[in-house]
Amino acid sequence: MSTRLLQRGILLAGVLAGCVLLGLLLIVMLFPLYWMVMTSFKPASEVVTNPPLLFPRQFAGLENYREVIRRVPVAQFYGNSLYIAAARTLGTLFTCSLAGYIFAKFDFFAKRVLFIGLLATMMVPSSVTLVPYFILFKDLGLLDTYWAVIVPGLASASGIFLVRQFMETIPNELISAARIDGCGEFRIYAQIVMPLCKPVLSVLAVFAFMNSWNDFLWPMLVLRQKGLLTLPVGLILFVSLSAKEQWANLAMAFSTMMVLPIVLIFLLAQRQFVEGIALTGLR
Amino acid sequence: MRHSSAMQGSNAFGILWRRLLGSRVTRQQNLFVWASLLPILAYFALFSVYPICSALNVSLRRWLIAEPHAHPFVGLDNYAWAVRDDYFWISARNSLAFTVAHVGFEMLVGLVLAVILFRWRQPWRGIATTVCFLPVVASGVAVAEVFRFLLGPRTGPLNYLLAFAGLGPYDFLGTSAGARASVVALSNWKNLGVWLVLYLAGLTTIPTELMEAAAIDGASRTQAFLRVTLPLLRPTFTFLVVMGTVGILQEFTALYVLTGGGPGTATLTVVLYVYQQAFLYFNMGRGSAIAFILFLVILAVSVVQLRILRHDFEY
Repeated sequence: MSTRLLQRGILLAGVLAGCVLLGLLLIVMLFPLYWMVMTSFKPASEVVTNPPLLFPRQFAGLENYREVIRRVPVAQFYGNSLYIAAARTLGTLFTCSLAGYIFAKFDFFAKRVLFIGLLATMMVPSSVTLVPYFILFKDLGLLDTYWAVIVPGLASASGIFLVRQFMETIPNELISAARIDGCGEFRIYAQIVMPLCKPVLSVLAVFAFMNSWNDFLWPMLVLRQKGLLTLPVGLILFVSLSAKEQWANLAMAFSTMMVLPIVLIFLLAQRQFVEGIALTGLR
Repeated sequence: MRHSSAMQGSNAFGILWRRLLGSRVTRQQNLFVWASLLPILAYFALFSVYPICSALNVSLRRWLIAEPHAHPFVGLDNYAWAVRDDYFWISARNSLAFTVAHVGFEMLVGLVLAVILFRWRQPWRGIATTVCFLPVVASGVAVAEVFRFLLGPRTGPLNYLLAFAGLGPYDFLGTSAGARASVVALSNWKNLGVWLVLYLAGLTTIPTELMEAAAIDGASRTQAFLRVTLPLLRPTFTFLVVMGTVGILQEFTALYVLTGGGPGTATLTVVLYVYQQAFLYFNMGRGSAIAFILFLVILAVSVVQLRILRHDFEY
């Protein structure tokens, strides 16, 4: 009898410990983001208070957001970020699906060597390519243009690997049947293989978009004109223009505007994100 | 198989020609393969292979933005400079400490968390994973700004809590130890979700029969964990350590925004130093030399990974 009670007690303690852990985890992981959003709704007078306010006393509504938009061309930054991310995502989808299809379904000269060579390029760290890219785009006269930011992000070796893994599961009969029916090779790829690959292409798309949206170092190095800046570069510019602590509510409003779309995409396409991470790591 | 007689020859050119184009049945396919693949391969040659050669080339020259037309070859001068440069060694030491702290923490906390979450039922596991993943997708610049604000000596709620506990306000970003801890905290917070998801993926690959067999053989939960789960997670460990190391060695945003390498040189890492040399002092040669050293280190880490992975066993 007492042992049963003891067991029940241990079980209860376990459940309780689980709840506490879950609660702690939620607090630690969510608090910085919560603080960002809350601060963005605080009037300037409540940004620095003792004790800090978990919730604004005077809800500032969208006033801070309006103020940010008054000071810097946020809409323009948004448009630039979207344009660059869309171009890079479409480019990545096209190149990776095409190369992935070819490496999965065709036999050709030096296939193994080429594939291994392609995978080896994943080991090239971005910090090494900075100076060469800079010199390359400078020589081409393309510094401070969209080209410099878009072109280096049009393909990824890990994306090709990801697509190839998936396409190997597509039955060969499907492709030969189309071939016998007289379907051209490019049409087979575009109209038969691509639609079957939606799951893996959606994984690739969310990652390409996220990487482009959050990309910071390279755009910061090459983009100078205010009209071309992306959101992360724009935020740094904004913060450097307004260094005072009291303006933190504005910086947080800017940050919220930048983080919101990508978080929404993540919540809508969670499965793709988690799958993509599980398959390739982050790159 | 109707080749023109010129291509029928058994000379090297004929063989190569046939390897490349094949029979007429496959000719259309080969045309498609090479027409599609060559531009893509050229792209990778230009944006992955060429930069490595170019970085090496620049690192062997005196290459200043201020002198746009003369880049004299100076041999290993830039490397010799790096080896004698105090800041290079400070940055290398900081990078090493940062990497060890980050990877060690994520490896341990991620594992503990994953093992606990793995036993949770849905939807709780899903909710916890989602929450841990939010910082991963959030822009690095934005979350670094948030941390800068959170940790501020006057602005931050964290310092309020410390003061409340009688530990006084602590200038996290103004002291060496504080800045280092802050940078590690930010990177750990931001990347925990990746480690968690990969650990969970690794745990699901362990066949349940093995755990059942261990239980039947009378192994306690702890024994089963230490003797079955941990060894079977070895590929996951290897992958995570290498991915984490290579990733964090290249971390730029968190450091640049949160501390900018400071105070002094307390959080100056190699990547930050590359950035400073190449894009603040406009010394491309020195910047490239440091970057190339970093590349060799990353390459070595990756090769060690391949070595270890090759010894992994099947189950």
